[in-house]
Amino acid sequence: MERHRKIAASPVRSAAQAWKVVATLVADTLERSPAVPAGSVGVELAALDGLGPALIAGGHLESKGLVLCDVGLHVTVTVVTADAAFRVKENLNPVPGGASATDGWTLYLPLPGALNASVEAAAKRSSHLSVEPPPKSAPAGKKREGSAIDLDALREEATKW
Amino acid sequence: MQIRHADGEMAETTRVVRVMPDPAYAGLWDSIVVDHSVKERLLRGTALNLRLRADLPFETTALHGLVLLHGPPGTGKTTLARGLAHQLAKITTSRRARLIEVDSHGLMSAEHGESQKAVTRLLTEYVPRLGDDGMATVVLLDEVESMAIARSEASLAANPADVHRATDAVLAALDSNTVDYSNLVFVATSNFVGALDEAFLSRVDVHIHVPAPDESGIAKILEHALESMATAYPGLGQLACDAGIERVAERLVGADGRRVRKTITEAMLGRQETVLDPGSTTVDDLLAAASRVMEDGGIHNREAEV
Repeated sequence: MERHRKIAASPVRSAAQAWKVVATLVADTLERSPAVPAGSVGVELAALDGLGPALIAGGHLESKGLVLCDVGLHVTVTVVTADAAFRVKENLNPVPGGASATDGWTLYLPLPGALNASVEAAAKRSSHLSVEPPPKSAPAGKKREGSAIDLDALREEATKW
Repeated sequence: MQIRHADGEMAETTRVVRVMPDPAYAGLWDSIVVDHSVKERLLRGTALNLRLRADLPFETTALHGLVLLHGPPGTGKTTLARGLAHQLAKITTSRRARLIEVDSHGLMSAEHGESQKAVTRLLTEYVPRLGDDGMATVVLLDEVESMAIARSEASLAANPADVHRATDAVLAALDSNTVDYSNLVFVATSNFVGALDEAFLSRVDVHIHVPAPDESGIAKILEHALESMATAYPGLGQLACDAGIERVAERLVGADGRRVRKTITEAMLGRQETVLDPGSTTVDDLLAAASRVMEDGGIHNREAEV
């Protein structure tokens, strides 16, 4: 399922604060997964320090947005400003799908023209950042092992009936 | 898990989120006296549903992960669904299962469009995020007729557009969750199957009718309840074994399980002595109470199914 999160920036909060909200949302989403160590997402997103707020301040995340993708996870994060910032009802909870994220998660960055070179340079500093066009939907899901039925246990229970 | 912003209200529409096994839920399954086939069908149906949906794509199975328990009020449908989560924990590889209990009434709003938003947020955001860890999860939609009402029956006086939207939201959420979250099973209960939307009913994978207890079932309910109460009032243990219980059961035919249980307290309040010492309740007290219950309790076949 493709999901969307909309974050309010100026005048509700500064571009730097809005970027912090975005980074926290991405980290909270991915770090619910045992495959993504706590704190590791922040390290990867450090490549966007300074650049993230610049993208927001320039209004470059208003329409295209960032796209976070992994197995069973596809979320577009846009950041709005001006009147739209007052109207947005934010949902900052971790995005469903994050708890089964793999260490192959990718954050796709838009190329906004004037900042292309900086964005491309940042993407080169982390294997989790990409300037390629994002996939249209989440990659095919893997099996969720926790839901597996234990056939031996089922047989044993059936004998009690 | 921290709940923030728009989802804060979602916590209010879920009565319970528990991870099983939970001692508080251990006795629920056995406490419901119903034909064994009902419980077997419920547990087997759920286990098979989880297995097939994990192994095969939706296009192959056409399973929506939806079980419907229907029947008259007071027959234990809700309790069975709660107990199911506990039973399910015994047969998953992780030996754990989650119960999410939704307050269907709490989702409905008189404000235009709000019901749809609440249903969508609950079923496509809140529930999937809880079930995101892959744990087998039973989502109990109690009295589901309040959120999946038949659109064809929507009254013009009752804001039919909102009814449509809320039901549409339920259907859309079921469709997306079955594909993305094969570990979720929705167990819906209803006393009014006729009030449910046809498209909702067509998504039900397993229909299970939970009937009112017959005479022997009533006797078992009485015995079970008396034995349980004997932990506090030992005299009731003997009463549970009394052959006269069968006569009480005979008198209570037509009553639902809840009413049968309440007959015991009705018997206790019949005399001052039994109020002071509930353990001294006799078969005669129960017989008199059964008569009162059947006379003024409005006992009749209240199944409103069409």
